[in-house]
Amino acid sequence: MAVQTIPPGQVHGVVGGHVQDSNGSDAGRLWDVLVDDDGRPRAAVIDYGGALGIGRRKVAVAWQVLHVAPEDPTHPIHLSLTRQQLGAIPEFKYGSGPTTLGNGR
Amino acid sequence: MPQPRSLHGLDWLNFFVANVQTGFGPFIAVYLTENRWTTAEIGYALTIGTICSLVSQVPAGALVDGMRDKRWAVWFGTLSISGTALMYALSPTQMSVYVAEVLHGLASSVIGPAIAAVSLALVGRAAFSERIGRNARFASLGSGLAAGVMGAAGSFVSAGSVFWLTAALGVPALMALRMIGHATGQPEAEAEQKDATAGMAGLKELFLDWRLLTFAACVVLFFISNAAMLPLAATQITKRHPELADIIIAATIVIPQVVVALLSPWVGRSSDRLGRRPIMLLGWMMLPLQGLLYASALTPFLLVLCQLLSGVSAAVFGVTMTLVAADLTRESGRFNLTLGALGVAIAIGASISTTFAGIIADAFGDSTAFLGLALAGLAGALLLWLVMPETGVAAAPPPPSMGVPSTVVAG
Repeated sequence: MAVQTIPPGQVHGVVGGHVQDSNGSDAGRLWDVLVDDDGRPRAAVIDYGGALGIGRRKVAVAWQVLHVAPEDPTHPIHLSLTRQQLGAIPEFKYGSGPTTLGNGR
Repeated sequence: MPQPRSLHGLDWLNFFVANVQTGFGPFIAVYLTENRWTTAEIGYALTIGTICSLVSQVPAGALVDGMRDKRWAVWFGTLSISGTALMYALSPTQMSVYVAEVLHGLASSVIGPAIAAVSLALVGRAAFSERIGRNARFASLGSGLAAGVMGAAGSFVSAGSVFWLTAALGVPALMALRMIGHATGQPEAEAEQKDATAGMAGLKELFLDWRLLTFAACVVLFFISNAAMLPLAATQITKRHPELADIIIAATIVIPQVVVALLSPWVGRSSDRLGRRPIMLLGWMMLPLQGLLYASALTPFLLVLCQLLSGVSAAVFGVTMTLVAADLTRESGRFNLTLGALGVAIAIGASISTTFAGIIADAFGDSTAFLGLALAGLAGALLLWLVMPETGVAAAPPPPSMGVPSTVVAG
């Protein structure tokens, strides 16, 4: 079997990572990645808000608004959305219903 | 009279055990996510803990009832929760976390009722209501403070630090336990000890006691109404007030703790003076009121107001549940078993609540969900009012010849 080697620092685990909004404030964590039938990432589920687990909500955002920032150790994932914009996205739920994505437009 | 040293020990035991119990619960999901656990795996682990706690409530209660010295149960519970925290901190691997969850489930079903039993053995029936009020005050101060400190540690240090902190707080809890003297010297406690081993016949009698069944139904309805209320409201606040939501929510989590700390001793005393029923009605009625307020408008101000009301109902519930359980087991001595059964009622109510509110909210919106929760609370209050009898013996009015109460002169 042929193996492929990727040099260090070129790929990053993202699930569970802290997310920062476009104002530079904390916007929770990346909870899950939603992929289409071909396995390409389409959206990310962000879990944010609240305190001690109360008041958290999950929203799905388009993959394009996500930027990986490995140089930022505390918040390796940046969003080009604000928390206000996250508030406008309906709650994400796993299941057969339609998924509304926040895309910043 | 119990030794003052024992009574102070009991104060601090309530405080530190509450520290330990509040501890790491809310941080498990975050911590395991940080350690690259998947959502499904975290779900399994938490389900193991929940099921274990549910299944062990009643047998653990029976076991504690049969113990001569209930301090051992508190000792086991405290050590187990600290041990659980340590296992999480040292090794967030599957095997270790699953074992920790089993232990945590067992410990959490033993510890609360066992502290109540130690208190009963220590102070006796006459001073029990007052004592339970005081226990609730210290426990609430402990969990409020722990929530604040652990929340800060979780956000500013690391989720892992919360587990170390919880493990360490087991030490002062055990030191407080050591201050409490052996209390089976109470003649009442001795009598209960004998009866508790009477056998299975009494068990059937207990679970067919319609007063217990009615009260358990009231407890289930209380939690159907109560458990989903704050989470549902807080999520909406997060959605609508992105700037301030996190701080508002943190504050509103602490508000009921403060109210419980202030109010519980009064609840304890009044349950003796006025009887359990009027006090319980007051507490249960706060639930439909909250539901209606949330349904009418959802603002940060209303969230604060409703959390004040929630504090009143929490203070009433915490104290009166223990008192009613003690009242109903005056002859049988199966106090911990009864508290265990009521613990199951709490778990059932709370799990129905989340599902019930979620289904209504999805179909008809949040306002309707709040009305549904209010209705469950109202049903509980009506059941209390119309069916539940008074269980306290001291509810009889004082003889009219008593004249001016001495407390008035004392001022």
